[in-house]
Amino acid sequence: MNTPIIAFQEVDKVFASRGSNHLVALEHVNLSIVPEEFIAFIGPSGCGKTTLLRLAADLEQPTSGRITIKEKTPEQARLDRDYGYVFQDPVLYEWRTVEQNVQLPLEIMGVPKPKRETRAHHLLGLVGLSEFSHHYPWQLSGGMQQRVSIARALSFSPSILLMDEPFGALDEITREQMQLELLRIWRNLKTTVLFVTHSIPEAVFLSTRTVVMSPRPGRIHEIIEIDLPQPRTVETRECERFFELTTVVRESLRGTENGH
Amino acid sequence: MKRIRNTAPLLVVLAGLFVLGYPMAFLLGYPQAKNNFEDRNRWIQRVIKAAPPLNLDSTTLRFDAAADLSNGLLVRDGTPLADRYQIEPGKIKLSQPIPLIVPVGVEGLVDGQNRLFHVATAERERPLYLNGKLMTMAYEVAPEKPDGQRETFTFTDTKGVFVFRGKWLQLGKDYALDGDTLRLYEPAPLWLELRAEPEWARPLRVTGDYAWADDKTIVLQEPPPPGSEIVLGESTVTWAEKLRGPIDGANRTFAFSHGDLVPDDATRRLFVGNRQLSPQEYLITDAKQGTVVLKETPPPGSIVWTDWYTIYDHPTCGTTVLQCFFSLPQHPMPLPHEIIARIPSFVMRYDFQSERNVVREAIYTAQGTLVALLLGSIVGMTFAVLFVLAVPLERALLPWVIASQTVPIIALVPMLVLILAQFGVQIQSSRLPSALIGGYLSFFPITVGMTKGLRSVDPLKLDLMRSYGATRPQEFMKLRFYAAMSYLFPSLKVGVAVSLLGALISETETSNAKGLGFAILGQVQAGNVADLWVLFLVTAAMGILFVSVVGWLEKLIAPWVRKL
Ligand SMILES: Nc1ncnc2c1ncn2[C@@H]1O[C@H](COP(=O)(O)OP(=O)(O)OP(=O)(O)O)[C@@H](O)[C@H]1O
Ligand SMILES: [Mg+2]
Repeated sequence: MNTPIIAFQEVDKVFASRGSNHLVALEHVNLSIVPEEFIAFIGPSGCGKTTLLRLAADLEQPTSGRITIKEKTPEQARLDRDYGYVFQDPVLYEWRTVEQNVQLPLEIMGVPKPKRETRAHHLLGLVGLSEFSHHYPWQLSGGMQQRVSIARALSFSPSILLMDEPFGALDEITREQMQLELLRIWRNLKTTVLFVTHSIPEAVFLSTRTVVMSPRPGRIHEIIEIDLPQPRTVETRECERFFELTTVVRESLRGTENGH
Repeated sequence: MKRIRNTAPLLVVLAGLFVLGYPMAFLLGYPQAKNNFEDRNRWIQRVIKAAPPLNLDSTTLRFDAAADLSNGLLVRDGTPLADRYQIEPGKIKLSQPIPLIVPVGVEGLVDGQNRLFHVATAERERPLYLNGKLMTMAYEVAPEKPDGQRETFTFTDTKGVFVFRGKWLQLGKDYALDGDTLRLYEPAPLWLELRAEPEWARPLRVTGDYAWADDKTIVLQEPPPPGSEIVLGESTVTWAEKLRGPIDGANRTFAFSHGDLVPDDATRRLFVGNRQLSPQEYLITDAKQGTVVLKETPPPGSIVWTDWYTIYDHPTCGTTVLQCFFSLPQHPMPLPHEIIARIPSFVMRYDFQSERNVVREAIYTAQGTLVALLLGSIVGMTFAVLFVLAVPLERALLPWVIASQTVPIIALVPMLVLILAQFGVQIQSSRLPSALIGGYLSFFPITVGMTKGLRSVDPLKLDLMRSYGATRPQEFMKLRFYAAMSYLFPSLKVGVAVSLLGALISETETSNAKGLGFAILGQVQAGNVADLWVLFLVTAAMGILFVSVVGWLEKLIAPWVRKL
């Protein structure tokens, strides 16, 4: 294995609240991710998945421990624009059209206008929203908004993609299409993906490793190697190994509850 | 359809205000109306006097049907005629003929044309008989007072003979009629003598058989036919009034038939038998009821009577407080329809060429307001950006910004004008005071709103910016600025309203002499309440217009704000 692109070393995150009830969101998190890995995070609500992504993206500072991104601090990585972040909510700018929203990171990075436009056009095609490029966010459904948010994260081909339940608001068919599309992009761009989900089949289908987390305090319960062959296709969902692995993950998830 | 739905609430409120205006105006005008109703100095006084006979037959006298012949007595020369007469329905038969009238000479041609007759001394109170028949004196006085220039006088009717200062006015020669207005060809002269102005200092209209055109001139409605006899009674019989009360040798309390006596009535005449009492010999104990107590008990068999006294009849302004309210010459708060009725004449008073034209005044004020808003916005937004960029700066400056708003603006305006004058700014034609005062007032809500707006960014939107490694200026230009819009526009609405206020206040500085503020000041000084209210309406309409323009701009510039 080559050197990790992302490394968590004994990371703790405690949210200090008023009074003395501190909330331990993450405890003893150790995780090494090598480039071009696709890591899925799964675990009960409130176990610190979002917190973990935010720590990686330098939106939150660890209480103790160390995070290294591409052998840099997360802050440096952020300033180097290594992250494409898809939040749990779409977080679109209401005053921008769909197209302008997708162009936002490119604008900030100073990409010239013609290039921005072709890029936005291409990505909106990818998420199936070409016809809506001149619409405003409030004119779109929740699922459509989330797809715009994905297109925006992909627009500048970041080396690390942080995705927090991106497909949560999508219908089953669109969801499966988007999963295939995401895998294709991942292979083509050779990015590293950190993907939070609540769906066991989604975690198994997409990831190379699935991290199962347990709550209160948030810890890494188990890391399950997903040895399904690449590239994954529609058939992958029907093979024996897929079912076996979903069962493993499910059982591991059950274990997080029994662990207490 | 949508338009109707949008304007309907506005119209409903407008109609509501219109209707509520009446009780409101009544409430505010009530004290004055009540005072007018109760103040005896404002009441109409009526003289109750002995009725003269309608004819001059020396043995049978006819009286007006209104004269109550059952409770009265026949009097001649202040002496009761006791039992020397018999009362029959509507008339009195004398038991022996007596000289009823000592006629006073009336001079004038009786040629079927002449209406003017003269007497040697003022004899206004005497009855006038034409061919032995009593004539009625009645006339209407024009409400307008001659001021040396006035030519038009109003009357309730144009029938009858018009008289002015002893002169019988002739249509086409002395005056013309425009509807109910009399227009003299020459302005009516002013009454210059110092003593009280007589009624005939104003034009009169003869409404009865005759009227006094001045102290010594009688004008008849119809010229008496040739051969007629005109006499003014010098000594006459009249039907006087007995006071109610028993004459039993003990009682001294009597009552007038009409109550509500005028206490200081110098013309009142009271008799016991044929002796007139001096004011020291009786006491009005209850003016309201008309009760009088005599100093000396009238002996049995005598008569207590009066032929002349004055009572309060009714208030000039009307018989109810409500009527008095409506007849107030100027209501403290004008009635809504008065205000509305005032608008056309108010707008038309000056044509558009004149600087006093209300539309031009409004435009002037509007320009001042907009410059003020612009100034306030620039200053306010600058402060807001500085505050958000540097919190210590906010801590240092915000108290001063707040303190600035507590300075009394009224005091600030003259100071400002003084300072500007030092720099040679011509206040007369400058919008600078409006802009400075309006800007001074409006920068505050804009500072506060914009600061809050720049701060109240959705934290996830900020996280997104951070994740792109955006610089601080980028964060401002692409995110905070837009996020502030939802706060900026409401504070701009407040800002435009206070800008208007500031512009109006600064215009009241008279050296400016322009704009609606100055117009308001002018009406305040002239005491023109109705016009003042029209100006209020104009400024209110301007305020609503400005605020809705800001709302419309918001829809245009920041349509997403309404979708949040
Ligand atoms: N800013 C914060 N301040 C205080 N507590 C926080 C904060 N952010 C998260 N937490 C707490 O940390 C814990 C983990 O939160 P986090 O959002 O990471 O959970 P999650 O696994 O993403 O849950 P979900 O699946 O529901 O999204 C929760 O108990 C939450 O209450
Ligand atoms: Mg979460």
